[in-house]
Amino acid sequence: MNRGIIGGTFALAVCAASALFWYSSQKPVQAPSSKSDEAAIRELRREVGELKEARATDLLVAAQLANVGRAPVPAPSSPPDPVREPSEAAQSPALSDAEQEQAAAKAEAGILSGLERAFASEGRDGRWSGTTANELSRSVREALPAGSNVSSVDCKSRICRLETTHENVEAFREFNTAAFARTGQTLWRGAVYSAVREQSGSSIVALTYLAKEGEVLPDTAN
Amino acid sequence: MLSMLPNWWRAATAVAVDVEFNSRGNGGNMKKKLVFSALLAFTSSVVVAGIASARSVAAVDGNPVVGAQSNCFNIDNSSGAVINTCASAEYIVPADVDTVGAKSIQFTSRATAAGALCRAVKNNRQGTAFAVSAVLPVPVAAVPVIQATGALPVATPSDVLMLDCSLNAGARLHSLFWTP
Repeated sequence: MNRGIIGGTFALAVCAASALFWYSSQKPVQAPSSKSDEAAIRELRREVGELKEARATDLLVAAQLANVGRAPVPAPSSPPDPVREPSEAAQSPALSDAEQEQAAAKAEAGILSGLERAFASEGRDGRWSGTTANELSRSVREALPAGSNVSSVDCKSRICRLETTHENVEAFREFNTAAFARTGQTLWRGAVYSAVREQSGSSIVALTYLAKEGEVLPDTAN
Repeated sequence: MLSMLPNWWRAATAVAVDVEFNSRGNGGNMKKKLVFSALLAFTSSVVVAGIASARSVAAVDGNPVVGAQSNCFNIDNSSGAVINTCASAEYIVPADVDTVGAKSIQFTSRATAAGALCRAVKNNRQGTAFAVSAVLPVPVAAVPVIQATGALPVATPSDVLMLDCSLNAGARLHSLFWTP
């Protein structure tokens, strides 16, 4: 997005420069002869002089700051604000841990819902879906830890959906590690999103969406 | 209006204007120079503002995934690149996150033989929302090549995002670039 804006602005600037260059080149070049031109030049020279002075002052101040950078600074009466980079966006008022976790859980549920909708609306590629679902089912079963099960495997034309049950979160993490976490040994080379959907005392249900190689999972983060 | 601009901007423009005044004293060319200087300064400031929202790190800021593979990686001190000297070793570089949304990581790398792979990985603090991008091969090339991973959905700034690479012998990872 940012790149698009920057690229667009740059292109506009280049176009404007070209147009102005052309416009300037159409006029005959004349030496400044009239009194008004001379007055304008004097005014510009004066402004250039001021700017030079301002720049010199800036450099001087920067040099002074560099020299005194390590000098002791009086302790502030109250703790200073944490240092923030200029690029950082202003953040909303601090949320408690519980509120942050609630917001995160809501966002993650939204991502799962978005993927579920995308999968539901996708058409089926009979040849790819059948073969891939069989292969995926077999390799996933090999990666599942003891006590975990595959509830369903379904592939359509670009996305596969896998539902698994696990005894606890640790078993779910173990499954993800074995199946997808090692780049060199992952059982799926396309994009994957795998998250806990339901969590109860005795078991958890997890959903995993897998994009066909060369495809991307739908952007459901926003 | 000129006085509202930062001094460095005004000075940069002024230098070009001054050079033109002193070298030619020619009205038409002076006008062109003024226009070009202003446009150049404007374009530069826009580009700098855009880049400021992104972040980059050298690969040397990362870690081997397996402790036993720590000795597999040499560091090129001039570029900050890591070079794998073992037959195969895994290396990760964290990419910190400030905002939510779809996040992609650009990385610069090259290999001497096919087989090296990289991808982006994301998880939440509890390890219950795991995502990986499609695997990208590290290109076999004489100079480092920039690639971008697929975007991953980051639900909260506390999510963990990183570049995860499986590097074969001679493969180099140079740097990462992303919007936090």
